[in-house]
Amino acid sequence: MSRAAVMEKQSNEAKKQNQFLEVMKRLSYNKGAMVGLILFLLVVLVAIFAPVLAPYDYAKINIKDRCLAPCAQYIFGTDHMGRDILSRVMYGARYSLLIGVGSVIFSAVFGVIFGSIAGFYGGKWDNLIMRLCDVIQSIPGMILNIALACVLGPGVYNTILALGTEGIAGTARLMRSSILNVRKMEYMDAARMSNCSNPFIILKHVLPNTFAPILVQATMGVGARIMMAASMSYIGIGVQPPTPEWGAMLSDSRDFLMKYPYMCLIPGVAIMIVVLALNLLGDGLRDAMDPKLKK
Amino acid sequence: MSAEAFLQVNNLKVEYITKEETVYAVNDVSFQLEKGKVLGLVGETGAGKTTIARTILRVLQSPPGTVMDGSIKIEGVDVLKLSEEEMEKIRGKKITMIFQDPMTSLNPVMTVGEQISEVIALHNDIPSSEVRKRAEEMLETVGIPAERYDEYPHQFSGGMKQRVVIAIALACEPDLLLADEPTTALDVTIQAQVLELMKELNKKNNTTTILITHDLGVVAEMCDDVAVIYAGEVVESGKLEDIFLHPAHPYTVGLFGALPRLDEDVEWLSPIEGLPPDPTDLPEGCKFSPRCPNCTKECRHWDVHLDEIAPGHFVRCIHAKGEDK
Amino acid sequence: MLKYILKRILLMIPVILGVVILVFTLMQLTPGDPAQVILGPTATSEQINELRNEMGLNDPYIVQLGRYLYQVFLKGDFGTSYISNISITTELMQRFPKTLIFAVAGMVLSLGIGIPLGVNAAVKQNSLADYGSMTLALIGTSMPGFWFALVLILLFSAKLGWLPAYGTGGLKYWILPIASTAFAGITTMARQVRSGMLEVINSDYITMAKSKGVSKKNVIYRHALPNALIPVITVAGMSFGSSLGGTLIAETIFSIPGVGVYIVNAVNNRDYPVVQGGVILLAVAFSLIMLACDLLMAAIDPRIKAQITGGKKRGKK
Repeated sequence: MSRAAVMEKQSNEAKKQNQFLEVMKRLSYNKGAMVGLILFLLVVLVAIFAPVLAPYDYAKINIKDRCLAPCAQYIFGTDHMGRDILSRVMYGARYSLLIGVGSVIFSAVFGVIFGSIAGFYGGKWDNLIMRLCDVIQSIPGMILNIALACVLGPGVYNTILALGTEGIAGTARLMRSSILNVRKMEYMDAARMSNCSNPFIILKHVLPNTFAPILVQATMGVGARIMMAASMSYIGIGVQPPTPEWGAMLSDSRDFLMKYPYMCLIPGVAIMIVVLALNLLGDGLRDAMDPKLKK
Repeated sequence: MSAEAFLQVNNLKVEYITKEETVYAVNDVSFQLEKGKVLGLVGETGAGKTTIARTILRVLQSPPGTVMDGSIKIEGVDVLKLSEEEMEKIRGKKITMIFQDPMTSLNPVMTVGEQISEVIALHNDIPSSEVRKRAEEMLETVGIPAERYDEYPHQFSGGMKQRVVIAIALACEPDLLLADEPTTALDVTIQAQVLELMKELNKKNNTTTILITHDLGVVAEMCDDVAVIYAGEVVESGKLEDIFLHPAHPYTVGLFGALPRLDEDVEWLSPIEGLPPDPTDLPEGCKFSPRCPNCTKECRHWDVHLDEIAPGHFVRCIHAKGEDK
Repeated sequence: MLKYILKRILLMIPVILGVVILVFTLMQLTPGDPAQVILGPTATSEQINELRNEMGLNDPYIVQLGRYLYQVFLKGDFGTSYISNISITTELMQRFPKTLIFAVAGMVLSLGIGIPLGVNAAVKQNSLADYGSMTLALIGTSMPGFWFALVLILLFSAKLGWLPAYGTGGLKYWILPIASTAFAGITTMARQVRSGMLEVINSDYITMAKSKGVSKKNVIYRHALPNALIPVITVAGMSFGSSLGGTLIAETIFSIPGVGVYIVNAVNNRDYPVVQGGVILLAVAFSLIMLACDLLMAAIDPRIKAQITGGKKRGKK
């Protein structure tokens, strides 16, 4: 019996490996996803090497050169305090990525924990967690974010916390339904028969098998969070100026919209590029993991 | 003689072309069928049987499915050359199809009655009350009470659903019925009932039928003619007796060898060794050669053609002639 | 079915109760003293304490919660604003129609334009029309709504001067705000409908419908679309939620006196009862739409309906 279980496990693992390679292969055929991946990696590189790449100090105020339209000296122009917009956009990538990735990781960790408890133990816990999710999800995301931001106050880390908290319910629900699906599988019986502890089963058997939907959701989620964070910063409850977060830059440019449109266009395009890259990648991942859709 | 056959398929070639690979699903298939006869298309899963049927009805998923070559003549008219509008008039009226899986072949959000009525209304110019009456009659014909007209597919069992599908397929008394493994997804007892029903209705309307199956028992019971398909090719074809009593192609022989028999006491069934070839990368020469017990050097390199070894009995094997004589 | 609808409405009550408790608790956790906010920085600590007593802020949390629930559920009273001292319920009711017009117009546009766009793209898969509309849709979902609003203002107000940039008045004041909030909905809908259609279009019953001789148009609209729409209905409901969220910001940009501006200003002024009331109102509106979506789904899909009526029978026993 145990040998059969071991063999089954091995064949499962081999299959998993193959599946992963298969997904990667299909992904590499998807031109859109590859473009998305490259764009995203570029943004990550810019964020990491911002101090090297940025031509000026992003915080340096230079009243003499304020409100300069894009020119040879300042490729993206300068803002109302004469700060170089290019440098600010480069540093802004750091904040936007940090907020997007950070809040998604936050929701993923807690969502997976709560979703696992609900899906795996069922009963009372399931009921409690799911009803709580019902309540949270009956408040539209942006509005809940605003309420949370109201509690937590502005700032980069508080924005991450607000966005992350808002996303827990969705991830938990997804995790729970994946677990309920995986629980029906035969290899779960095999694992249980070989006396594995529950947390061990979750970590070793359930998580890898629920990884796909969570990953797709997370990839798309990073983009959505970046946009939400920008919106919150724009209305003044997210990241505050003078931090060069893109939404905060847009908020800064508010009064100059008509006179100096480039101040508003450039950070917005930056947001669009990152989110577009993530959406392309997310779409590609979803298609690659669901061969049914890709024909 | 072939010119007057009701259905004539010539050199049909179908491929599924995607960015990554090309699947050679149907390779140079020809066969013919006289009016009122039942042809059994036999072969393993993935041999290209369903593709042939879908191509005849022109409901191939396209892309990726592409007809590369060949003609399909029904009473002399090549359906592959008809326009989509002309084809719409033929589908459901002249040619109909029963699909493999009754669970998925009915629209879940329409009542079964509506689904039968739809085909009747499309091809007959009659008032809607008359349409409903006919649809109810059709339900009764396939053994379902007419009261269930307004129920949805999920309220029916698999066997009942397949009856509904048959009712749809036969509602306009088609000339040609394509039955794609109509009983594979059903329980054994239901299988017999459904086959009986099909047989009865076929006889009544003199419907020409192509029955796709991998079940030789079903073939023996239902068919007049048989064509054995392997890797998208006809490897052997002929009258039922020819194939069952004098199988000449090693693959056909193998199929019978893999069948349990009650009248012979053998300890082991003899399955055909190996797996069907990868349809994206078919072997050179005879497609069956890698699995063939009688394979010789020539088999691997020669192009093998269908030869008539007895009147009406064709085999695609270079060794067949000698053996049969 | 009627019983089911009633049951669903009854089931909404605990959820709404949960929302009220959650929002109330969140506001309790918020730093800052309302009494201080009202009296301003010059107030003495005695004055503040007096006001706290008067407002019941010194009562235990549970008492305050009970009082709030009583007021909200039995009197429909959200209290008064700390800043303006005006009844929040009155203010919300006055502002809500504007927000609702926004969100409903956004949803109608996203359904009316998004569905045909998605269907067309799916049917002509891999054609120029498909690539074109999907590229547009992808760009649309990758733009923050408020930024798109700014771009629209730049283009149509600043550059072309066709439409007013902000304020309220006739129909033309509504065009830019609605276009900016609807765009995201249209693009999401188009993408969802396309993928839903592609999933359905290759299923057996569609081939079956084709093999019956049903015309291409009817195969798409009678057979494929209803099935493809079932999962999309939930997405439509969700997009109503996000357009409610989007209106919050659009109202700020276009200076439209709706619930959104009210909430945003209240957050910035630490006017908590207003935030509470506004969030609860929008959550209730969202829940009602989601309920309508669920019912619509049951009406389209007999399998869901059967589950419901089946459940009802079992419940009766």
